[in-house]
Amino acid sequence: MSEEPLKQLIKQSMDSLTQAIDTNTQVKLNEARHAAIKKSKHNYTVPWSWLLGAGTAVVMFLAVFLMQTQDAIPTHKEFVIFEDLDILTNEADTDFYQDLEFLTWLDANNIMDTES
Amino acid sequence: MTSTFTCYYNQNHSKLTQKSSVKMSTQSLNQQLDVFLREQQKQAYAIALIHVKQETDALDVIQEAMLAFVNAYRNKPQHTWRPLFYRILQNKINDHHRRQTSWLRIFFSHKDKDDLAAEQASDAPSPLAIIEIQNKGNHILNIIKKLPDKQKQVIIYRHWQQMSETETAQVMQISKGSVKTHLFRATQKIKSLTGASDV
Repeated sequence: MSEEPLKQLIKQSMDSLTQAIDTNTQVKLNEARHAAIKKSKHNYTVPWSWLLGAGTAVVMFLAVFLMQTQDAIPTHKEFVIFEDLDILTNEADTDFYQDLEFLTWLDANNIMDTES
Repeated sequence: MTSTFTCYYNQNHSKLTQKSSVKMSTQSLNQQLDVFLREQQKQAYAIALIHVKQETDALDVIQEAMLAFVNAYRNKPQHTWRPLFYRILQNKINDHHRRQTSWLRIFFSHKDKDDLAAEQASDAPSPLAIIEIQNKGNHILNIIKKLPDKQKQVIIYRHWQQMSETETAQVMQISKGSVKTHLFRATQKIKSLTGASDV
């Protein structure tokens, strides 16, 4: 006996089962389908480019900040220069320093004159 | 200078073009998935309902199967989607049965078997029963429901879903020989219950 009529009968029975699905259930099936595609892990992309850019910006900011703070702390050489600058910018009469050798000699002669 | 700028511009432009083409292919793949699942969802629901017998459970199984399929097999060739989807569906149905069995075993373990049977039986007709009542002449459906699981599945996938023996074996995760065996036994059983003269 051919099985073709049995196959047709089985197919019709199962088709009637799908046709009897009510509207409410169809709506829920549609929602399940949309949720599955939406929730799929492939649809979520980690913004690696944003993270990389933010990290680079932070590193650059720290580098500039450290460079700026290092510039603000003077070194020993700069202290010496500052001392010289202080002397140079002093408004006192500089002729005194130009005749320093003479004044030293004079001071020594005065002492000698006093002794004599 | 100009050539350097042009080269830099072309590199960035090609990167942007690649990103937009990847985004577009993802969208088109999502559309294809949507079309495929829309075509299969009613049949998948009917299969789930036959196995789990409750509408809410069947919907849960469908939801899990769709999500698992999209996550695992979206990048497979499209002609392989159908057996892969029903394989996942069958696995989710089996998982559901295992969860039900373990839950009932834990909850009802201290009770007698007769009490268990009485408690498990529901007075309210299931949606499947309602459909069966509505289709009074659909005797075959009642018979299919009462078949053992493997015979039920092979009838559904071979005769209703029109899958090949290879595809059915892939869905049920058994050999082609086992598919033939289960199909033969199921067919014989249906014929004996319906009466040889009816088919």
